[in-house]
Amino acid sequence: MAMDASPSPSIRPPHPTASALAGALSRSWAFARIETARALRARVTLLGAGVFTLAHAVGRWQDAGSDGLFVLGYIAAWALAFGPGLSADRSLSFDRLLVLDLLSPLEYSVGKTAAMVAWIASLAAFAWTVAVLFSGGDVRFASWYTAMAALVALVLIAAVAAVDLLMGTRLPAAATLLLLMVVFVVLAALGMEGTAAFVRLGLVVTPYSYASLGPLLLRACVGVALTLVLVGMAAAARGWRAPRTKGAA
Amino acid sequence: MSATCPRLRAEALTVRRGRRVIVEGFDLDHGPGSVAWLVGENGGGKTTLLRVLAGLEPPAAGAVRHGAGGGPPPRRSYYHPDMRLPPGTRVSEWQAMVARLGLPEREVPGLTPPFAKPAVTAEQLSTGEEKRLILDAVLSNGRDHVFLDEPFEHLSPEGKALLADRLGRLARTRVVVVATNQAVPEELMGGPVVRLVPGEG
Repeated sequence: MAMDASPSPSIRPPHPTASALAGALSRSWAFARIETARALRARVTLLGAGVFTLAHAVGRWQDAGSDGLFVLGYIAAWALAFGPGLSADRSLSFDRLLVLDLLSPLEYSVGKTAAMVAWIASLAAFAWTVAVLFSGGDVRFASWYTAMAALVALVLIAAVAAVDLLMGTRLPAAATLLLLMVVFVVLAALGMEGTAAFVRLGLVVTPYSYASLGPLLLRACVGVALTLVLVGMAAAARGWRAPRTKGAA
Repeated sequence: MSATCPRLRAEALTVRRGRRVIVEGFDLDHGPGSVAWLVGENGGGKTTLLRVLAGLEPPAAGAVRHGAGGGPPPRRSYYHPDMRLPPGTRVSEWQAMVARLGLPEREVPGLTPPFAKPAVTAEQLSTGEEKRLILDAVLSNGRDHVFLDEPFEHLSPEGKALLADRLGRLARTRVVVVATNQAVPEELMGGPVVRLVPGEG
């Protein structure tokens, strides 16, 4: 009987850094799952989905614009329903529970940001489905407008997180939109053309041209990266200062 | 749990809250074997002292050292009664998340009562049930130094007994410090007790 003379393969333990990274990603993923499930179940999310459906139905029925009010409906739904929940976590000391006892600030930040992106992706998937149904199967229309609207939402993701952290409003996306409009008005008053501001944000696009979404995609990636940093820094700062109960010591 | 022996040392510690001095020249050397207690009425400075001992705030003077060699940051668990679960969080999802985090001691018999409906959400729980869920996660993370602020608050007699039992087992191998305005459970007496009085400097 022939024997295999080759040395038996040795089983190497996983590299400690790789193992630690896998563990951190697994914990972030566990947190992102619960965050996403909670956000998608929220009544305001259902309301946002309803607002988008209604706006697009009216747009299609009235033959309003080239997009049948798709973009307006998407922005309205996003402004109404999107919220990172950062200020809510703070008011409940939930962020401190996570950062002091269960996750690192980076794991919290990755999980929170992933949940925000997942929410935007879920709204995009819903909007795509509605658009396909309402357009009688026009996948080209639904895909391009969905991609564009989702990228705009991702471009603004860091701004929404900052507004949520600083203002603690229940409608951080709507507040961000309002602030953005104020900025545009001020820029216009200062003599800057509106289109220049739109170009800087990557908002000048050509319908059905995916190449024209390139600047938006780049800014969306920057937005997500900034959100990671912002949420991580805020969580780290919260972890250091433990809460003080009013009246107790 | 780390290979080094958990230890908490406070040396010539001065802790202030605003202008008020909570402790001055305070020394403590506490290790596994018993629970250390910060007791007294509200306003005595228990939370502030606990935060300083946990390494979450710097003292006005003196030093806090953790571990055999000393030196922050400790691998600590920290519980505060303000910690809540967000509305809409399902108990089953929270427990699944905690399980997925790979906490070292999640197999330990827990404080959480069984829930008849797994889809029950945080806002449908009593305050005591919610506290037990949170404490279960905090006490399962296997860290060397455990700092708990009013952990018995809002718990039912059964919950208090379960928590006392859990703390007793934890204290065999960990540094456990508890701040409370309630009576110290008899079975956990024997460790250092720091009594803080409101208004005294």
